[in-house]
Amino acid sequence: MNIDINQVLLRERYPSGKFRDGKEFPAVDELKPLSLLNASIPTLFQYTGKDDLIPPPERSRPRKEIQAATLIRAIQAKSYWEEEWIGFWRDHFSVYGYEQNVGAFLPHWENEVIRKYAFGNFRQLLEATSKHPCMLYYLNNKSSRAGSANENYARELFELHTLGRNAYLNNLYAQWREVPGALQGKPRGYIDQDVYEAARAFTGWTVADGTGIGGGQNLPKTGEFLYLDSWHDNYQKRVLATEFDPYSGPMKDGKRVLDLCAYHPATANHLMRKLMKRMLSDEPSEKIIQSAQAVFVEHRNAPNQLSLLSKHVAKLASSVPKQLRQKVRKPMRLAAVFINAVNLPFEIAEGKIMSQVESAGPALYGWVSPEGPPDGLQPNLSAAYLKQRVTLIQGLAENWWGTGEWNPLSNLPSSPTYMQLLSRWEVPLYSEPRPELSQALISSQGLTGFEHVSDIKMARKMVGYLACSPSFQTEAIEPDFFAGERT
Amino acid sequence: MTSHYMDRRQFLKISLATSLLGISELTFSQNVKKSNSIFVAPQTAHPFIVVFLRGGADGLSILSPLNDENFTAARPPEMRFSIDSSGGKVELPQTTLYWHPEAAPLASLFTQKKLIAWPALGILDETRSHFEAQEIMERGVSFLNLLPDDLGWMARQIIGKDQFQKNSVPLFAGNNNSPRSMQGAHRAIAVRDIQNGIALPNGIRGFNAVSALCNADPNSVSAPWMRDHFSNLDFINQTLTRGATKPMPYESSGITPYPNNDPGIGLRSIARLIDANVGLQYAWVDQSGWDTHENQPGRLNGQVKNLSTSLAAFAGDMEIKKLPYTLVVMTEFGRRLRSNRSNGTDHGHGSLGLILGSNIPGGKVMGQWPGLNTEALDRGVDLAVTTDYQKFLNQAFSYQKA
Repeated sequence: MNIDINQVLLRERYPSGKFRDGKEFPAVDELKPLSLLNASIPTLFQYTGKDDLIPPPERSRPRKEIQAATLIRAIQAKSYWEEEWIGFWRDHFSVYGYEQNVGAFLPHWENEVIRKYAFGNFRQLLEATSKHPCMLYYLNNKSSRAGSANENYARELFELHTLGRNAYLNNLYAQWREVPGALQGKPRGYIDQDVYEAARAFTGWTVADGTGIGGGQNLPKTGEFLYLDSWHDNYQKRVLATEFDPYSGPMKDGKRVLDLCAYHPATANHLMRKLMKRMLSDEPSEKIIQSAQAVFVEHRNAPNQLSLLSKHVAKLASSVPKQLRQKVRKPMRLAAVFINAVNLPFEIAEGKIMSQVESAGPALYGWVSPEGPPDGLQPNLSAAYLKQRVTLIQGLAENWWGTGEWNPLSNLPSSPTYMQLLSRWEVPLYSEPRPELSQALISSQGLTGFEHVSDIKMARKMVGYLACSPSFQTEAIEPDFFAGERT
Repeated sequence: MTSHYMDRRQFLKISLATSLLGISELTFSQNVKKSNSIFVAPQTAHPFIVVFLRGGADGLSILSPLNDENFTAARPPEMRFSIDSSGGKVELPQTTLYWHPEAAPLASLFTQKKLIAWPALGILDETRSHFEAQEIMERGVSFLNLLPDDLGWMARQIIGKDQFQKNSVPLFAGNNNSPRSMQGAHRAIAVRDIQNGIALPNGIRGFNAVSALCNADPNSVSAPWMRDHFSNLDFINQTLTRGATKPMPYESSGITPYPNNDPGIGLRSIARLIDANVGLQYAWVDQSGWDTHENQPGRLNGQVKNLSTSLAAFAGDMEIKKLPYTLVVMTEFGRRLRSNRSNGTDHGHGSLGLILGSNIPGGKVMGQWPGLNTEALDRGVDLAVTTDYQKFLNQAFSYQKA
């Protein structure tokens, strides 16, 4: 399907209301283009509401645009592998977009951090996340300053973004010297003292949001990253058994922590274990994890480290049979596969489909806590999600939300039987004949299959049902050896 | 009752005389012999509900030692509430604790002897990681090095039974995400809101279609989950009192209505299932948003208000309907005694637990208050844990009609 994202309209509708100063804003009900997808940080900063210039109901527009654009991307994607790979990094550095200050900057985060580096270099990706307003607001580093630093970012940097909780040795060791390898400068893991010290290293990494900094002075109001030396704790530190000199220079402490974390062996293990689970199988073998780990480490300084890794992982995936690689389709993928299979002329303008997609699983940028949405079968197929997944397919099939009417009778003789109708859609939906599904479906409706389909709406409903089987919930992600290389 | 508690280790608080500067001299946890006691929950005589405060709730702000000079020294005035505004107080031998202003409904339940407060509760493991601490509490273990199985503790209880009755919902979560405590149990249902019913689209024909597909597609990895979930949803749906076209909304029978937020919505769903007598044994509801590294006072007002009103609504509802239950409130850890410069607090250790129920000796404070002197703090910085969460749960389980 060919949708030009520049031509896409998405309805914005809200009643009139008042700004904080009592000034009124009018009601809005119009179709608007997705104009914020490539907006600059200063433009997006207005959507935080700090200046109270944009009507409050419209401040979620950046998030809504990126969610709509991601659904359209899922429908148009040439390679599911590529979108899942990007999705892995998006979820790995998960931020909660329903929080105003984070949601405002999401388009920039998605394009200039996640998509830009997903096939680039991990160390660079890590630094890009650490300096972006989405992360600075989300994990509160924005307000962290010398004295009692805010530990939120530093803790999740170690535990979630890099070394991982298997390398968190706090229950074993209360002092850094006791951590195995520490006295040789190669600690096997980290403890709370590393978190405390790393938090000091990132003090002063903030957002130019107009905050007063004393002496009647204020930071500029651009929303961009800013290093503020007067908030930085400049004294000596020790992180991962490495001594940091006092006054080492602007941002040197933080960047050094990023180096130590990005290149720690535990990081390669943590990331590859998680990545293999996402791309290959809910239970990847140790051999596969180690193989990916070796490639990740070997190319750690290459600007295209993650692209080389993707090719390698694609090769690993090809060696595992499809039935062992079944992964639950994310709600957007589920919708996209159906839309493409039945040639549904997809129309997003009314936007009603979005809340349906959001509730069929963990929503895009919708996970509150920083570990990001869970991977694996059980958490993605909870009772609530499963019910909504069936609703989502059925609503698309029967056009409940104005997403477009499609022709279930194409390439069929006039007045086909139910059996003919369902058989015609087995291969588009499943890439192979599944007569047992059609047969079961026909019997469940008290039919024999030889009755003629008289009603096009009934035809759409039946084909919708056909896409509600257990098999349709999962797929093996097709390896793509050219992911990230198409323009 | 067929409960057997394996290897319940008594917690020994190791307190060392040390100053903050001497923190690096602390040498305890690695010397403590660890045994991974596994939590085995009993068959319950009535529903047992866990309300989990995700993110690490600051127990010191919910039931606050406002007279303790260690507390006032560690937290500037803007990080505390005033005694005048407090929702009520609780006297302990060593100190006085004050309910958060928004916890007035809890203070009232406490004075009516319907609530037990349990300060300095937590895990014995020294982790300050949300995800480790939550996993310890949900898997029902003491630490994560050696896990006994792939199950959550609620699932472990249910899986152990040969076959539970066909028409029953033993495990229910009032969230859309299935909690780890129910990990491994196909029959665990997670739905936050059942107010408008939980029927599949297209009525009975739709249900028949999906059921038939599940049966015809048994080799798919999702087949068992879909089959179990849809048959359970259908069963629950049949229990809901119906209006002309859809289920009637469920309301509390008590004075306080269920608030339309978490954990109120999940508790309302649970109350409805208890009322419908579907054989519920364990239920779970999350309230997220307790990870207050920044702007803590403002955020806690909302968090504590939602929690207190939800609990008051549930307790009132169950009391009027004369339905027996036990409910506990717990969180993965407490927060640092000393606040940070973002007007927040970072990850700590001991926190607070609450027990509500039809059969509890309320109006009591249980456990032990360790104090906030530096020597009494865990690793010199955090409220100590004087009660292991497993002991707390076992105590709560004991409050059942014989």
